[in-house]
Amino acid sequence: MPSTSEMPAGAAAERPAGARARGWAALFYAAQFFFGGWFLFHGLNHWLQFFVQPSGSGQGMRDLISVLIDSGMFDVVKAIEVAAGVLLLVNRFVPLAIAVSFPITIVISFMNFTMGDNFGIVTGIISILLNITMAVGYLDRYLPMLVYDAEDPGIGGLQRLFREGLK
Amino acid sequence: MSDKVMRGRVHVAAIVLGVGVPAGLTMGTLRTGADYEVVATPKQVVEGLEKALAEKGQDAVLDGFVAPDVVTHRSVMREGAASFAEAARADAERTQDLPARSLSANASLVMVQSAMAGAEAAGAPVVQIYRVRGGRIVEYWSAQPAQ
Repeated sequence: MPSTSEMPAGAAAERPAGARARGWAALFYAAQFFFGGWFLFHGLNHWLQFFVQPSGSGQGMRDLISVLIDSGMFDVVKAIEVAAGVLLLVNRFVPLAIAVSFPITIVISFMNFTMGDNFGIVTGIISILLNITMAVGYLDRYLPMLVYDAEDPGIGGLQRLFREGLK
Repeated sequence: MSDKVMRGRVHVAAIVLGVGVPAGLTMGTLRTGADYEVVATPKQVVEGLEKALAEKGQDAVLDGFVAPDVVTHRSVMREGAASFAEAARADAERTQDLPARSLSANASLVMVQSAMAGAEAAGAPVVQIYRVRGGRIVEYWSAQPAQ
C-alpha cells in the first residue's frame, strides 16, 4: 500500500473525502433502516398483534385513534406504514417512501407533542428527526421539485416514464 | 469475496437490525396502567352493549359497559347504572327486530338510528346517543315517540 507521500496529490485529497462520504452514508442508512423497521413492525402489528394496540396516552389521543379505527382510516395508515417500511428496508424507491412517510410522521409527532406524555414527546421528536435525516440524505433527488417557477406543465414526464421506465 | 456479495450480506444484516432494534425497543418500553389503558372504541362499546343486552338481558349491562354515575336522559333525567340498564332494556325491546338501523361514531359520541317496533308506532324514528369515555358509557339520550 503506498504511503500518503507516494500518492498523487489528488488521491491524497480524495481519501478523507471518501471516508467522510461513507460516514455520512452510514448515518443516513442507519436512520433509513431503523425507521423502515420501526414502520414495518408497527404497521404489521395492526393485523398480527405482536402487542395490543395502545389506545393513546391521553383522552384526546384515545378519541382520535377510536375515530381512525372505526372509520377504517387506521387500516389505510397502517398499510402505508407497511409499504413504506418494506421499501426503505429493501432500499428501493427510497425517496418516494420517505415522502410518503412524512405526513404520517407529522401526524404522529403532532399528536405526541400536543396530547402525549413525556415518553410520547420524545418519541415524536425522534420520529420527525429520523424522517428529516432520511430526507436530507436523498435531498439531491428532491431538488428538481424545489423550483420557484416550475414553468408550464406538460406530458413530457409521462412520455419519459413510458420511454425510459422506472430506474 | 466479491463486493456485490459483501454488499448483499451487509444489506441483510441491516434489515435484521433495522427490524430487530425498533421491535426490541418497542416491546421493552411497552407501558401499562391507567394512563395507557387499552380500551375499546366508543363504537365497540355500544355494539358490545347491544350484544350483551340481546344475549344476557338487563343485568349484563351493569357488567362493565357503563360508568357508575352514568346519566340517562329520557322522559326524565336519571343518574346511575341501574336507571341506565332499565332504560337500555326498555329501548332495546321497543326497537328490536327491525332491519332499518344505522350506527355511527364520532370521537366520544355514538349515534344509533332505528325505528319503533310494535303495532301502534311501528316505523317511527328512534334516535339513541351514547357518550363514551375510557371505554364506559357515561351519558345516554333517547328520543322516540311517546307511547
